[in-house]
Amino acid sequence: MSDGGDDRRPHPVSEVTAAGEGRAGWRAAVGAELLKLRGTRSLVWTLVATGLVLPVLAVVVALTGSLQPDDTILGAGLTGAVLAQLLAAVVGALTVTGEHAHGTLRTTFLAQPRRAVVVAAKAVVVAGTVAVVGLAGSGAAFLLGLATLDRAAHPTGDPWPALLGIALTLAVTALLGLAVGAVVRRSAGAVAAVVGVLLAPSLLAPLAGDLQRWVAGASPAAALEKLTQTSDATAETVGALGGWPSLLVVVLWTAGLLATATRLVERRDA
Amino acid sequence: MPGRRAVRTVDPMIEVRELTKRYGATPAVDRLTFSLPAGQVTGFLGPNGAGKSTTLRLILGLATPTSGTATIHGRPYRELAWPLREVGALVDAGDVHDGHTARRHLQILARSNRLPAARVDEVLEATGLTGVADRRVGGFSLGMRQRLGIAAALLGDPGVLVFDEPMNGLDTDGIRWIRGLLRRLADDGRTVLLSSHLMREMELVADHLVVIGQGRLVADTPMRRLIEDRARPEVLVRAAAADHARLAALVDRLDAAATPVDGDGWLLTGPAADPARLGRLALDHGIPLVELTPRYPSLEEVYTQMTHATVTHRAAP
Repeated sequence: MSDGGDDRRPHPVSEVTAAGEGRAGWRAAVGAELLKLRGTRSLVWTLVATGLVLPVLAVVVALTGSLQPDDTILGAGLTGAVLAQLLAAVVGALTVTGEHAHGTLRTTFLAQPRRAVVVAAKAVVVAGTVAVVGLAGSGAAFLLGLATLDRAAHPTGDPWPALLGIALTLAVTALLGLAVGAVVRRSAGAVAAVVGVLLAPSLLAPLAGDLQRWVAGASPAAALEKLTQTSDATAETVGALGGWPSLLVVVLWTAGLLATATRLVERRDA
Repeated sequence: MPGRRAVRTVDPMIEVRELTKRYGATPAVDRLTFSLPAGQVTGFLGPNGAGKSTTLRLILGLATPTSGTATIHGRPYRELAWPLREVGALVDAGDVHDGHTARRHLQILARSNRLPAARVDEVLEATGLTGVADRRVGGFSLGMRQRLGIAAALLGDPGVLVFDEPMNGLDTDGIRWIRGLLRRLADDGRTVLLSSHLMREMELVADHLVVIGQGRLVADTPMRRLIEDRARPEVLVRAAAADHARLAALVDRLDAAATPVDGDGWLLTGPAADPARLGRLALDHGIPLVELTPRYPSLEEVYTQMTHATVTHRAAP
């Protein structure tokens, strides 16, 4: 039979490499997710924006002299923190909703049908990348604040370990975005939902009576503002809980949401 | 055509047992049972809405059965150790990120199953995509996407291949290429499951057919036997001009409808249209035949007749 195509058949893998021991695991899945992230422009640009919004707003604050009298250099330098947080949530959501939009989730599940492994790999990659980008961005913003703001008129604030906490908060927020994206599936819906989740606790806290400080403190934005030591982070708006306890609360319920999302992803037909 | 090589195994590679998938009260797949041996191209046929794609998605672990099982070499897809090394699947050529290059798409898959990076170049070459490997998939034609989907299926050199409508969007050369590829894959001893609505192509490439309608099994049979069993052949008989009148008289007495053909023969249908009997009769009457040819209906005709009762989305008359 003559056929128009190439007659060479790709030679068997077994000739190229020994038959695989074990099974396709999460390390391989993490490698695949990293490649995927690097090749996806929307994600790369959202990550770049997440890192840049902090130093850019630090410069804006310095140029406009819009520093509150009682503010710290750290707090003023990190004016863009909540914006960075929104972008981090979008990064997390897009890693899942982007795959739904392109139908690539089916391809991903064919390569790794143990879906919890896929979700875990995405979580590791998203959290790791956002943490690194967040630390670089907030560090740069703080240094720019030190260089450009009036250090005689304002206290510096405690940059350490607050900067680590900020990077961690951004990473956790990205995971929150990922969980919401996995549940909602559509990009627009997921972004709207995650913005709601970020803002709702601050809006609803005044209605919560005695529980106000817990409700407000459970907001990822509240944890972040506390850690940046901005004068905006008053007990009325973000609750009386300290930055680190607040972050712990956020970590706990994000973990719960992620676990729920994973179970949902495993159950649903792709 | 290359000769058949020994098959790798006699065990069924894909086994579907009492497989059922319900959406609400309606079963999309209803107690479906069949098994596919290695070394064959099995055609998977059924009208639109018959449950073909659902069945494939159940086999590939993309959907969860309501009851019953689908296994590959004895295990459900979700329990395969290295899925891409065991099963290659093309479900939908659109399942590729438009912003990724062809090479990136394959690299991601290779990484997830620890396949050597060299495999990416090999399957790009094998599917004729080397020249466009670094172009974004968003600019690909449907035919190029199909080739990329086939490249992804071949990546892990799997023993089982599942293709859902792989010929969609391919040009004549592409279709001939994939026909040859499917044949070679089966001749290697692999299990090939091919769903397609292109009857002519199915007839050319499939060894075996599984036909479903309304989620139920309609036929599970070798291609030849399906056509020979399901349909009575028509028989063309011809004789030389000198014997024409005598053949006409013989034909006239047969329990068969006769349609004159080309002025020197008849196309016979009916109980008497049996080549063995006709040959014997002609010999007994001393009529030398010039031609005695059984004509089997095309797969399409048999299929239409077989699935007529089960078509769910028939156009209103």
